[in-house]
Amino acid sequence: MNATPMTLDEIEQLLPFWVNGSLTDAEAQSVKAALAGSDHLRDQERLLRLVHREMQGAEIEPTPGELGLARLNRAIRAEAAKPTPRWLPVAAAAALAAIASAGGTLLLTMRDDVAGGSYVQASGGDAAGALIVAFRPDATQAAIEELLLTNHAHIVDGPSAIGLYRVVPDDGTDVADVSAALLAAGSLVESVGPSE
Amino acid sequence: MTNEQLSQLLRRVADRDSDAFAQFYRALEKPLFRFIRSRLNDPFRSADILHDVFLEIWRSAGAFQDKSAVKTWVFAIAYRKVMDVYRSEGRLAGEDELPERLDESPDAAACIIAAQEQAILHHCLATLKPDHRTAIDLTFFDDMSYRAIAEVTGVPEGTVKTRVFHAKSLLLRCLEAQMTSRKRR
Repeated sequence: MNATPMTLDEIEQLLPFWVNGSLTDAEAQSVKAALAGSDHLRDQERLLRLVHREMQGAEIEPTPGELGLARLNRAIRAEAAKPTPRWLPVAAAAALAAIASAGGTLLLTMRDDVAGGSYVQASGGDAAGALIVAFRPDATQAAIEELLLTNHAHIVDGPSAIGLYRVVPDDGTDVADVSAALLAAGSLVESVGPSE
Repeated sequence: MTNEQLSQLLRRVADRDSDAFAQFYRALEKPLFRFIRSRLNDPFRSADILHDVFLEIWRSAGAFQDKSAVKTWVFAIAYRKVMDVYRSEGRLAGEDELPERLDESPDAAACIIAAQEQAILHHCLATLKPDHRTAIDLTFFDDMSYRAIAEVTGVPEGTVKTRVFHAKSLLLRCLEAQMTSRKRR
């Protein structure tokens, strides 16, 4: 039994999928036959192939990448660990001390990482004025970013194995002001402490 | 990575295999982020939505039943989360309105010249409404069939074909207008 021939409109609706190679064999045969007999369809096909090629060749923006995977693993571990064990604050304090004593490491700028994955060498000044911050597991990246931008601070390292970040004030901003502002944001921040 | 390879990884993810989850993430993170980012126009919000999508994959990998391609299943999760954002921001009003029938075909030569300039093409893509942009992106960037796009977006296959057709018409119309405007300058 022969299928009903497609109309020009029906063929034109299939052209984008002919161009991306996702039609069934039967659909592709119909489009191929229609193309052979229509200048209009061939013009449309040429344009669509161009759009397809340009979109395929477009640069892909930097993605969260490995930082995104680390954040996911942290969230998964946090889920698995619920309810939060009572020993966590002790472990956090120990890790805080360990981070505070580690000097000269490559520090991550979170905003740059989202945009391009770059690392920057921490200055001694940053380490001296830094805070160690634990954000709540359900705090979103957008909310954290907004909180830090609003209070003129940025992340230079983290998350550590138990999810701690090192945060430093922007130039000209008092570390005590940042600390107070972060402590006040209890819906996003679990704890704030000095790095020294 | 083939659908079979992704499907195997997903079965391992369902068994709480974190190495498989990392491989799955690395295979699909870039196209998914691009899909979300082109809809939300906010890299930080997009990173949060991407995070939510992969968390849902981790939690519900065991529910995947091979009834659709893995990529289709994953993009459908991302699409739903983007729609949630649109709803929360009241951006869905009039989404399904279709443009008036465009009777005259755009000048093919002008469109071809314009489409070869990334800046013009991106400008014209940005003028499309969300449902049209989604249809165009899934067709020309992710190479999905209209059947897969229908699964991702939860609309009939005929609606997908119509949306792509109208989106294509609007895109070509914009490309032509950009070239006409340039000639006048």
